[in-house]
Formats: sequence, C-alpha cells, structure tokens
Amino acid sequence: MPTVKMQKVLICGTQENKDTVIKKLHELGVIELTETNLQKEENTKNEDYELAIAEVAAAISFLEKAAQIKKSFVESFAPTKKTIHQEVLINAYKKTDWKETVKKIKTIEGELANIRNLKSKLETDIDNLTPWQSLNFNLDLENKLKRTIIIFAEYGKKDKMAAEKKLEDKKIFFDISVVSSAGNKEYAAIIVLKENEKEVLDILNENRFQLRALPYANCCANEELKKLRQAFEEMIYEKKELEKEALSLSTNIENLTLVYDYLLLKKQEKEAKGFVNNTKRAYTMSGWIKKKEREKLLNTLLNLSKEIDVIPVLPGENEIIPTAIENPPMFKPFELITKIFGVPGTKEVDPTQALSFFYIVFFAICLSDAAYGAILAIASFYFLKKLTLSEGGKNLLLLLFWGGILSIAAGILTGSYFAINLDDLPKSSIKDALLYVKIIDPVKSPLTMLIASLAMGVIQNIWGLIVGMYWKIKQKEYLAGIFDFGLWIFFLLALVALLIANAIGPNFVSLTSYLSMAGAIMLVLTQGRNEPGFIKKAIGGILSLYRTTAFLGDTLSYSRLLALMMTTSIIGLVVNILAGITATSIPIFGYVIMIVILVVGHLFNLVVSVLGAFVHSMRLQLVEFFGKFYEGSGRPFKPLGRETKYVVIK
Amino acid sequence: MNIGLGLAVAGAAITAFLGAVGSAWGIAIASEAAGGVLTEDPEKFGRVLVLLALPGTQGFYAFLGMFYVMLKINLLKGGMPIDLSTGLQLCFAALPVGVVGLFSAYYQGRASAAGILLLAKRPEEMGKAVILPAMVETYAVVGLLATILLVSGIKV
Repeated sequence: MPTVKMQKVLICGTQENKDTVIKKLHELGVIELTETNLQKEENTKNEDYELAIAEVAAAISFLEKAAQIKKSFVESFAPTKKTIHQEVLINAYKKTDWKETVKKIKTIEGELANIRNLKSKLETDIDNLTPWQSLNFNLDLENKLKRTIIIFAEYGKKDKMAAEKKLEDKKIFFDISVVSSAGNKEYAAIIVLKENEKEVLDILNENRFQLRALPYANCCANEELKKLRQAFEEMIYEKKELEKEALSLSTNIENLTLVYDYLLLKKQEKEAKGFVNNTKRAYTMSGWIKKKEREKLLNTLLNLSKEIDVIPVLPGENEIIPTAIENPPMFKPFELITKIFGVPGTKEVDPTQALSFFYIVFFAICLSDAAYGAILAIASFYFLKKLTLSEGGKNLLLLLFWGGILSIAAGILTGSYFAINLDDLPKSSIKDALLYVKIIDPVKSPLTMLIASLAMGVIQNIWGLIVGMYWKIKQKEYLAGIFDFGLWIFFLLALVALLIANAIGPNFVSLTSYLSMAGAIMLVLTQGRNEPGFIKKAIGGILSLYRTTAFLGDTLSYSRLLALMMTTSIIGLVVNILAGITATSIPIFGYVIMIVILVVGHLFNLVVSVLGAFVHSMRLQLVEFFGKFYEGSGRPFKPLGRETKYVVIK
Repeated sequence: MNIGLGLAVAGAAITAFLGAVGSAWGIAIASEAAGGVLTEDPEKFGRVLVLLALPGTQGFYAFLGMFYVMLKINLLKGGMPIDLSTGLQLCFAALPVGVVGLFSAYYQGRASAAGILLLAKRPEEMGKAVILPAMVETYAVVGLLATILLVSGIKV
C-alpha cells in the first residue's frame, strides 16, 4: 500500500475571520501547520494558560488524594474519557467559580503544609519535655538566681558517679537532683556556683553528660507540657477540619477536569496562532493536508466566511513531507506495529497490510491454547465496548481480540485447552472429536514444530523480498527490483528446493543444485553493479553471497515460535499437575486449594503468554521482516487537533 | 543407587536454580529504576510493571527446561533407571537454558531499566520501550530451544 498523498497549502483570509478559522481548524484536525520564516509578530508565549493549567492540575490531584480516589489497574493503561458536548466544556469554564475553588484549595494546601511543620515541631518539644515533668520550679527560675546556675542534663547512671567523684575531688559545690529516670538513664537538674560554670561543664562533658535546653516558660514543666499538648490537640482538630473541607470540595473534581481540558484547548489554539503571518488586514498560514481533503476543507471554511482561500503550493526545497498512512478498517489495528517502528518515508511502501497476516498467525501460534484464546478474545471485546479509548488503545485491544480468536483455532489444532492432556479425558465422543482435529502436539514432537516454525520464517522472508520487489518496480526502479529482490527470491527458493530434494530422495537433487548455482552466479554478476571498476564489481558481487547467512539467521529466529508455544503449554501443564497433587493429597480443603491454584496459575500463564506472544511476534515483524525492504524513515503527520486529557468532545 | 538418574536430576535442578536467580536479579534491577519513576508519577505503575516483568521469563524458561527433563525421565512417577552416559547427557543438555537465563535476565533487567527511564520521559513510546529488552530475551529463547532440542534428541 502506498502512503497517503500529501499537499502543502496556503490558507489566506482577512483578520475578521482569523479566530473562527483557527478554531475550526483545531476542531477538524486535518492540517499540520508549519512554521514560516516570513515574520513572527504574535507573541507565542503561553504563560498565562500554562500557569492556570498547572494550578488546576495541582488542585485536581490534591482533591483526588483528599477523596482517596484510586484508579483501577486497567485505567492506568487506558484512562477512560467521557464524551461530552462542547457547550458543557465552555460552561464549566465560564459559568462556574472554579477560580474560587482553586484558590480555596491552594489555601487549604498551604495550611496543611504549615500544620505538618508545626506538628513535627510540637512532637519534638513534647518528647523533649516529658522526662522533666516532675520538675517543681518555674522553668525561667534561672533569671532570678544571682550566684548559681541550673544545668539540665541527661546521663548514664555509671557516668554520674564518676562525675560526682571528680567534682568532689576538685572541691566544687554542686547539687544533682534527679528529676526522672528511664532504664539506665537519668534526667537531672544540676545546680552549681556561677564561678565554677566552666570547670563543671568540662567535667560533665568528659563524662558524656548531654545538656538539655528547656523552654523558657513562666511556669512548671508540667504546665508547659499541658499547654503543648493542648496546642497539639487543637492542631489535630484543625487538620481534621481542613481535611473535611477538602473532602467537601472534592465534588468539584469533575468540573475542574472540564476546566483543565478547556484550558488545554485554549492553549493549543493560541499556539496555532503562532504559525500565522499577519498583515494589517489579512493573514496567511501554511501547512500540510491530505491531498483529497483540501477541497473539503476549503468548502467548510467558505461556510464561515467568503474571504478565504486554501491554495495548493509547492513545498520548500528541503522540506520533509509528513507521512500519513491509511488502511481499510480490517488492517487498521496493525498500523500500531508500523508506527512503533516508524512511519514510511514518502517513497516507501506502507508495510501494514503485508505484515498483518503473519503477525496475527504468529501471535496465535505463540499463545496456541483454545481456552486462553477464548478468554483473551472475550476480555478484549468487553474492554473495547466498555472503555472510551484513544485510537492506539483501540487498535491494541483489536489486535488482542483477533489474536485471541486465532489462538482458539491454533489451540484446537494443537489439542490444547487449558493445557489439559486430551488422552487423560474420559472416553467420550467429544474426546474423539477433539483428538480428530488435533494435528500436532508440540510437547511430544518439538522437531516437527521446529521445522514448521522455520518454514514460516522462510515464507515470510521471501514474502518480504516480494513486497520489496513489487514496490521497486512500482517506483519504476526496474533494475533494483529484479536484481536486488527478484534474484534473491529465485536463489533462496532454489536453496529451499535443494533442501527438500535432499530430504525426499535423489530424484531432483541435481536439478535443484544447478538452479541454486545459477542463482548464485547471477547474484555475483549483478550485486556489484553500482561499484566503480571491474575488480570492485566482482568483489562486491562475491561478497553479496554472504547475505545468505543473514537470511539463515533471520530464519532461525523464527524458532522462537516453537519455544513460546511450548512455554504456554508446559507452564499450563505444571499448573494442572500441581492442582491435581493438592486435590488428592490434602483432605477436605484440597479441592478449594486446587481451584485457587487452577485460577491463579492459569491467569498468570495467560498474562505471561500473551505478553510474550505480543512482543515476540512484533519483533519478528520489526527486525526480520522489515529488514528485507523497509526503513521507516518518514516523519509522522501530526495535524493540529483537540488533544484533551479527561474528555472527548462530540 | 542410580548415578545416571542423579546426574539428570542435578542438571535439571541446577538449570532451574540459575534461571530463577537470573530473573530475580533482572527484575530487581528494573524495579530499582521503576521505584524512581513511580515516586514522580505513580500513575505509570501499570506500564512500568509490564517492563519490569520482562526479565521474569527466564526463570520460567529454566523451569520449563527442568520440567522437560523431568518428563523425559518420568520423575513425576518416581523416575526410571538411567545409565551413567545418558544421565551425563541429560545433565549437560539441561544447562543451556539455565546458564543463558542467568546472564540474559541480568542484562535484560538493565535493558528494562533503560526502557522504564524512556517511559518516564516519553510515555507515548511504550512500544519501543518494550522492544528493547525483548531483543535481549531472544537469546534466552535460544537457550531454551537448545535445551529442548538436546533433551528431545537424547534416547533414554
């Protein structure tokens, strides 16, 4: 499939219709505006909107926390968006006092932060003062003393004796009155003469006394403590009140999300205005649009104002044309894979349809369990219907849905239903039917399955070359198409034929080996054709045969299909065996545990296998398949459109 | 006493052990990166979880390898007598998935951590973030295939 033809256009109009036109373009989402270097008059800074958006976002997240709104696991992948009418959005912005709400929330947040700080301060104060509560004099007593000072200290009991002895030795007057003790520690008020202060402090220090500063209060420690505790209680009360208020404000969350999206849209509009070149009366802006949509856009805009035109223009010399890809609805989900790698450049083919069949078949082979496939299909169908999703999310679920459907088929062919061994089933017509449609058991005959996996690799490799050849010929690069792709197809097919001929008997061996040699000779003759001079041409031609090993490596990479297939069935098998053991070996509760093991085990296996199937079949497309013909060198087309976070506008 | 059976079981056990250790290691590396990202944006949990679970497959591949050997020697029903040479063959055949698993899970953990950091800055690039560690996993798959093919080729 070729990519969509793009057209660069110039939109011209008069200043009167500028705002409505930009609004319309924003709504339609069909044009990607480009910068012009003519003039940049309008201030493109968006600080006002950005500030408001940040404030509203902060308010929303604060309220969500206050109301303890938790997002479900599924929502963290694909947030659900409500579909609403544009009017609702505008009303939310213009007719509600959201600014007041945001302001209130800001205040509450600030107060709560203050309270947090105060709380930790009060807690340390209370902790510090608690050991001193039986102190029976005012804490600021020291002010009134003329000749003595009071030292509050905390120390170990052993250190006290040493310190006392030292003080007595030095003939210093002192009094240590123990206020309280806890375990090995004592808290005491030490009274000494002012002139001895330095000496005493030295001795206390030496004996690991820790000095304590107590608050300078005009009351006993006990009373001070009471005051602190009361302040603490009050603070807790205040905090609860604030939290209550926050909770009552949380009814505003929905409205704030609407305001948030409104502001986002306003910001995008303003950014779009930055692309406009203004004169006094008129303006122009240029951008990219899908060629087929130009006429439609012109007609829509003419409905707004007669003084407008959408003129096709030539792109600048070094301008890169953006790429848009379009596929029929059936192939749309597979665009996800192409986009992950990179969209095609303007001269490249869109590989989406070419990879779709292989991707979904590989996915099914990797999962290869009918029951798992059914669960996956039902679950993804349910979420598709239930959630409002972005295009990417929808495509992902559609891929999983079809993968699930095909896995049912793959499971039937490999006889895998929750990895139950069909031979163990009781004799019945169902068993016979299931065994009849089963064609291979990957666990019992891995070699056959390996060969089948590799065969699929060969097929997709050659298919990649065919797509490449088709595209080169369509681009009228006949030589490249035939030599670089056609000859390789011939050579690889001949090699495969030689392999098969060797395996089935001597009849065709000589014919196929001649064909292979002919292919090789032709490659040697043609692959060096772009090199200068005969010798370089010859070397280039011979070295090109080395590419065969790359094909070999690519093919071997498909052996992962077998490995992933076996992972699913063997882990499922282990779950079944474990469940069986518990059921028979634990009395009474055995069956309950068995059910738990079965449900959890199979669910786990399903999730791991789906992840593996998804990632590895994608890798086979991106690395092995794309490597044959695809670069993904394009720049994706990003039209100006309404990008919202919480709602979708009708 | 049957030395052959013992060797086969030893190979199976060692391989399960190595693969599981590797996965634990890899997931721990990815989790460290994930923790950092989640402190900034807890809403990314779901997507980050997918990335950090990727190095977990090696443990299961190794387990699968172990189980495949168990099926081969019928260990679920007590095991069968195996001669020394076959036991040694099974022992070595069991190893690739475990040894490759140990190292590839470690390196895949690092690749996953890189993917998680990518996701932190560009949440829309989930696909690319998953593909990078998946490239490392290829070789764990190769190890698993080696074990499966070797074990299925041995005659007991």
